[in-house]
Amino acid sequence: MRSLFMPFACVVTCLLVATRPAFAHPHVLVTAAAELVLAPGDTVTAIRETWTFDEMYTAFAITGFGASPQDPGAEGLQEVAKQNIDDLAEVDYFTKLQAGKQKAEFEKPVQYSAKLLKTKEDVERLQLEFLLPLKKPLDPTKGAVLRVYDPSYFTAFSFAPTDSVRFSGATRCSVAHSKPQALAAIDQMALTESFYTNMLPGTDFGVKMAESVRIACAQ
Amino acid sequence: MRNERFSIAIAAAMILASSTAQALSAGPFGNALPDEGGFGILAWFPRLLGPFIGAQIAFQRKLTIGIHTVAHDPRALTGLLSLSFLYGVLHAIGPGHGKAVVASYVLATRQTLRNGIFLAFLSSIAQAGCAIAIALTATRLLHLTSIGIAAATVKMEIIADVAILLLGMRLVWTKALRPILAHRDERDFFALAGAPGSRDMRLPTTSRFRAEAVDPVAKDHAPGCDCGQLHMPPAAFVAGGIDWPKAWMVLVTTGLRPCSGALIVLAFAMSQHVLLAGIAATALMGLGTFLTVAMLAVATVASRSGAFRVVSFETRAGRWLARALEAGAALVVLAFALLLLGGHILMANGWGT
Repeated sequence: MRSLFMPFACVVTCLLVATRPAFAHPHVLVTAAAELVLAPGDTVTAIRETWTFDEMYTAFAITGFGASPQDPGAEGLQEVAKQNIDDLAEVDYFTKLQAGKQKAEFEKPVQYSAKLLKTKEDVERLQLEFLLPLKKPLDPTKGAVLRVYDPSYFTAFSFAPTDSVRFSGATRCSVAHSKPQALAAIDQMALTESFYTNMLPGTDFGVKMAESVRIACAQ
Repeated sequence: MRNERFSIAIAAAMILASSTAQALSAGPFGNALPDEGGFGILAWFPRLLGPFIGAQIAFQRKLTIGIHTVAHDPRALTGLLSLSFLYGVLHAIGPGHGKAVVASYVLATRQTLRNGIFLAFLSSIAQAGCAIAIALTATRLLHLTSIGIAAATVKMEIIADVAILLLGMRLVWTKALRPILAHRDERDFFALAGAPGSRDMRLPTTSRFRAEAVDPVAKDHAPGCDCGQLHMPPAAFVAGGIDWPKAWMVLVTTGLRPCSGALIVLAFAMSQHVLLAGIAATALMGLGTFLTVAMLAVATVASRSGAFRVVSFETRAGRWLARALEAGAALVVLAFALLLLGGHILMANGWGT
């Protein structure tokens, strides 16, 4: 009886491989804005992203980066930016840009900064800005989709409905935002059958809650 | 006994060694995993997922406003405390907060209603207390950054997950495997200690209400012994206290994982110079989660006795049901631990992106 325990323990250990990561409800709310940097010929070479965090998370995020817990100072803010960018590398900066079958791959940003904005209630919000270069330029002219989202949905990203995604120069391309079907349906109280089936939890729940920005270019 | 504990220790050490090296990073923005796989209870109610998330986000905004208002107008405190309580109740429905471990433990070890609620209370208070302790220690004493706090939280979660693994393995061993292995003869498998047909024919028949009839000479067959035989809890045990050696493990597993939400709330309260209000809000959130977890514990205990009102414990079907419930609950705890630890490993290796 006792001699069976070790094999049992080994089976248990092996079962560890067959598991999936878990999801969370969002603890961090981010308002995102993006500027698509275009090269001549309208190919995207980089994305300049600006993420503004909610007030409550901001207080947590800047904890400990400066002389006093709540006041990071200029150096502290630069350190906040650096550590966040370092951590974001593992998750591809939560950014996905795809044109047809071509998915953009990103290099580590070298230009980045963080600052604290004061809201009108006199509370601070952290704003992280970084320039995300693409490894190879992407041609969006046949249609492309930009999404900024956290697959585990710990962080909820949203774009402001107007003027949050722009191009760096004059261009024949334009953008259209679509809210995730789930949240839009709640807004419109359109609780149809497809809404329910779309809400089944799966490995990409985060993408189901993600907004997409469609890029279309006049020919 | 010693052999068994040694094996558990070896298995746990193997898992810990392999996972620690890889799993030391928190995700960006302090993403520590919640202590339930997937969506917890909500996985059974997918229609509620969207509204639930919407409600959570709305509550979070209200909490932010509430704390900010309290900084300027102390009379807003009662509003903030009620809001925090409601947030705790709602928040605990989502993944985490030890619901699965407490409920499964209550089921597997046949806890009474009172003990189940007490366990729920302790684990919720432990979580709130842990968040408060970490927030204070990390900022005031250790001057950790938010990223440092998140990394520390992940390490604590791994310890807690290993504790769940040990608890789960122990429960599965006692409630599922050992009974099967010890009593290959079917009659013995269903034997109640002292019932006719059991190995020990000297003991008189026992029933739920006449537990004093158990021969005290059979000291190896006290309730809670690991002999693999099914024991009727004697009246004294049913009314009595908790089996602390096992129960403390439940507390460690649920209490050692501070709620990320609470850490964020406390940081914000500190920034608004209303730390005490933040602590009070966190305590009320703990009470709210206690309510939800306790309701689950009550439902668990009630469904177990309900099941046995339908199927009498003294019939063979009844005993099968008892075995199956306890073994099933033990397996849930174990599977849970595997999900959590596996999740840490996979997340550290870039899955889920």
